Amino acid sequence: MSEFVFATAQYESGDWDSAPLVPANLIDSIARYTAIPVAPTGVVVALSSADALRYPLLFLTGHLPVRFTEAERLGIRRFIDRGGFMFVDDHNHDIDGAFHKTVTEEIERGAGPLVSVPRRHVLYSAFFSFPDGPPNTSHELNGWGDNLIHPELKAVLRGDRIAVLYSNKDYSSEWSYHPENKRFYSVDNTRFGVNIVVYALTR
Amino acid sequence: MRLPGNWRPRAERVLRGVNFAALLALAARLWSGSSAAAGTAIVSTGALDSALVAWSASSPARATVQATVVPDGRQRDWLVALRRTGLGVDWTTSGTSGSALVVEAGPLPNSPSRVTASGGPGRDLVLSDELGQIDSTRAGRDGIAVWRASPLGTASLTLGTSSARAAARDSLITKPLLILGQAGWESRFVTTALEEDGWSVTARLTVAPGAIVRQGTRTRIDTAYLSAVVVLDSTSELDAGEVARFVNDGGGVVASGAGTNHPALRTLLRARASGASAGAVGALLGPAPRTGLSTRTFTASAGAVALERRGDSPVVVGRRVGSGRVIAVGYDDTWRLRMAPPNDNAPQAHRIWWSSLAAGVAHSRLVPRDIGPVDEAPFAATVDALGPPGKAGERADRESSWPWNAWLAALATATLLAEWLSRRLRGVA
Repeated sequence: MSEFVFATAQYESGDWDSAPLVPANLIDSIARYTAIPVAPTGVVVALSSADALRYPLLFLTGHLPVRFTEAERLGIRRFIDRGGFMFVDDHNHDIDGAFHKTVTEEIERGAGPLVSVPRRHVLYSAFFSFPDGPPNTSHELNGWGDNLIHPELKAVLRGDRIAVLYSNKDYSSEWSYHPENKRFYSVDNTRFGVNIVVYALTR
Repeated sequence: MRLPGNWRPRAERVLRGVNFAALLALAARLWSGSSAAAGTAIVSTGALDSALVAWSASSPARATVQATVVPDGRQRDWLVALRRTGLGVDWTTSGTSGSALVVEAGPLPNSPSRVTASGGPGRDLVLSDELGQIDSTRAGRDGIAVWRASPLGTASLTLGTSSARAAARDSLITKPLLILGQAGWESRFVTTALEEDGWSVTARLTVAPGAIVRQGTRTRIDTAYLSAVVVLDSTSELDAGEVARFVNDGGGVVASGAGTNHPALRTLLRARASGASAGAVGALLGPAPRTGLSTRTFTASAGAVALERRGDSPVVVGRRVGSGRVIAVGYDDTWRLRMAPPNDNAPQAHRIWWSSLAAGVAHSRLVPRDIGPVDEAPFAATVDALGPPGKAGERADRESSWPWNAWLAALATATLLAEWLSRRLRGVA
């Protein structure tokens, strides 16, 4: 069986590489908590490239306004239609920010309407249990950004499966640190990232 | 040379004799012809129903059916019954072959049926059901066309004088599949493919020691609950005795990739991995994407059948065990068949391939369906009932090959006129 490879999506507009430590941190968590064979390093693939189809989980983040090219839109649609899973996170953690407005427009145009993910969704119990829904980030709790706690995630569904998971809780900031620094946390804050990966690999 | 003086009366007597002979022959022919017509009935299929009613009351000696349309099953049965009462029956048609149609239930209750039509090489075939036309295609060189369709009620295929009607005679009842494997793209996409094709899937996927993601209800491996088990790894919890009982009772097992090494399946599969074969570079993007996957190759034991080969080496092997079947699939990472190929039907091809593997082993029960009258091969059935047909118009040609009656009438008239003229010229009244 091939290893799971964590892939970050590269796109032409905006800053796709704004959270460079997230892949290594999530790879560390998957290896730490699960028996899933995982590649020790992630990869970067262009959204418009056929190479994106080699990695059925894509992580996409950024701060800046996003306008996908036509090739990128086609790439997303093909990726979703074939069963790929995309996790999109707003690195600005705000509702009316430039990334949020533009990327949700692009997602809805390319993949379909975003709907709320209920707190009892299997995503929140795929590995670790999050009975209150998506865990809050320190950026939400200390009032940065829009000074709001975003209580739910959004998703584009294919059947009853999540095809695109969208968050504006800013996990990109929350998880962007060197994995060895996990020892300073009483509770590992990347555990929800493990749930996302396990969900993508099993549902 | 001078003719004798009394030659004309002699000639007139000869002419009168010829005249009488022609009239007698004509009368004899007309009398015998009318009695023959009274004994042979010729009817086209348009008027066959009323003729059958009449013949049942008063049977002629012989009947010929001129088939503008090949008789249907009810008409054939009636003709056979009349033949058993002593009526001689034959039939003629302009065609030399006819249509045939078979509808077989799909591998799942909701799957499209397999519709097979026979109509002659290169013929244009139009498939219809009770709502109207479904599809048309051109038969291959073997004269066969195959559809996956869901005809409403009875499907029909009309070709020349022959119209075949068919319906699925039975349907299948299947139970869920159980997928065992590690959390990963292979188990995820196999589950997706089978669910998309209509299978009910339960899954036990190992994420970490002691951590198993379950889908569906927990069930025993038993034909009362499951149709087949799909094993995708070599470490999932699986009891060898339980799965052996399941297969012997009619259940199925598909072991794929690392699953072919599962210790609980060793005695069931009996396909020993003899080597490995790397995928051809770039083949995943070509017309035969499975050649782009790395695979185990097997040495198949006696009783096993190689279902797919790479070169001379079997890579998919099937075997009967008791009442059930097992299939070993050597390919690794078949999920790439869905994601990598550039053509848009890659997910469908992946889905159909996995569904056919599951259907090949799944325990299922045939349930007869209550269907109306069908006529799957009317031409062949009519040949079987009434014998080979004559060519249309053969009898009429035979009857009119020489117009004896007209010639005899003309001869009688000519001799009568000649005698009358001769007598007038020599002044005899």
